[in-house]
Amino acid sequence: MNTPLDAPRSSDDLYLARAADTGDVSVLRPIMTGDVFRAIDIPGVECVEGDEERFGMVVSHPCSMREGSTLKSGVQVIRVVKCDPIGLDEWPKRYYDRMPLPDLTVIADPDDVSADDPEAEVQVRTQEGAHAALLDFRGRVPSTRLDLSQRVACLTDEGVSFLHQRMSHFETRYAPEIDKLMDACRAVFAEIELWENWNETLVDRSRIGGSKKLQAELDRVGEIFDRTLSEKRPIPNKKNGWYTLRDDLKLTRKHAGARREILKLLSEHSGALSQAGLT
Amino acid sequence: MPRKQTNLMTESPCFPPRTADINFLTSEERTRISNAARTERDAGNSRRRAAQWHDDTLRSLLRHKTDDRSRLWLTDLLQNLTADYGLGWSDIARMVGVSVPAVRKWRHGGDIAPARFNNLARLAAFLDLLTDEGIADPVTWLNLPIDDLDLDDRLSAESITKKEVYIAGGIVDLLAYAKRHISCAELQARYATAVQRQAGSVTRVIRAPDGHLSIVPTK
Repeated sequence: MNTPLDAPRSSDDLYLARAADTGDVSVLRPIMTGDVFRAIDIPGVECVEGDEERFGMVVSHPCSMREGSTLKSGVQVIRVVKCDPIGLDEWPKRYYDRMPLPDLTVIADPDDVSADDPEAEVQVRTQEGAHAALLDFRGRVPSTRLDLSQRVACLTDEGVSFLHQRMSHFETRYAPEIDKLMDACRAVFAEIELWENWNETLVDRSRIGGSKKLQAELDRVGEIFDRTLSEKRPIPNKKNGWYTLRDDLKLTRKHAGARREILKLLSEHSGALSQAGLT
Repeated sequence: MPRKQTNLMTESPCFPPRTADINFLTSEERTRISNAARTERDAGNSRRRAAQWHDDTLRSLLRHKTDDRSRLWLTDLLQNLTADYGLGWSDIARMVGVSVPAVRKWRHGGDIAPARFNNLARLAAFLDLLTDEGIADPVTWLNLPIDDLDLDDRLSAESITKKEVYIAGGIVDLLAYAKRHISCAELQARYATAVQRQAGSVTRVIRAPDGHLSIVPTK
């Protein structure tokens, strides 16, 4: 049968982190497409069955959701509801109006994981954890309402690409290839990953009490990170012309070098802070 | 009528000659053909043996280097792959054959199975060996298509990248390619099926299971 959409090999491939798995999703991870938050009111979206927890998923595109390191004043969010589990074999064939989110809030018993291989994928799916993001229940939520302590899950790069494929097909009936979607967002995925590294290294959570102070610290590191990536750097052995590390992350030939350079600069920042006794 | 002279040099790929042709040859010519065919066979065997020997050597080299690398702490190994080589976490996950959350757990001190640790060490060893071969930036080298000939940064939709070959299990073949033991065409041919890249960006319209039409990339 012709099926336009794809499915992940395992539903665990979808999630980078889940509160159900680790207790909470790290607040040091910058907000990204596919993040699910609890207690979100979406303007213009009426109540729907299964929305008791008022889960909402950020669907703004990663390339356009920020200005510099700051989220735009509003982001696009869709409603996530509890529903019956959707098998992976059903992803391509049905439910074109939603993004299935298996085991979003409940993860299979850890005893099901082989003791020999702690990273083995758990194939047992739970009834209670099954959710879906409804693509048609969408609205613009003020970004100040996205509370990092209420984040329930983050998607992997692949998970975001599955979301994009289903969104594109829902809106236009065109289903782009998952690999192409991942290629198109590769630089911004890398940027978010590196930014999280910066936060992990430069934000000392033990010294910061209260979510406002933490947010201010995250904003400060975010600004430094953004400035580092946007800084115009002279092209070696050339009189004119410049480049930025953000540009280099987009180029296949420069990507790995840009990553190394960004981590080197992070190491320098970290060293400078240690010397100043700030971390 | 002059008999056709057999040129052993130019016709060698046709050995052995068809039986009908042999009847026209003198016994001396038959012996020469037979000897040449044997030489050809021997040369083929020698090439195969040499290739096998090269592969075994590379495998052994990789094993030793992997053993060296596996003496590092997990955090140092991950640091080496990211900060020194420029690999991303999702790249590491794909190349080692685990999920991205698994790599995140390792970063934060989670347990790693010995087999996975060995895969990580092998990845680092592989990158070391590429560096030893004079490849200044092994990760960029891996990210580029096999048949990358122009200096444009666009990725060719049809060609597979060396990273995809690695993921498909072609580690030793990639080392052989880096050492110029095998050609780019050979590598491409060996892994084209395994990697299964989609050609171009051609699309077609299909009737989806919900009864409506959908536009999908041609498969």
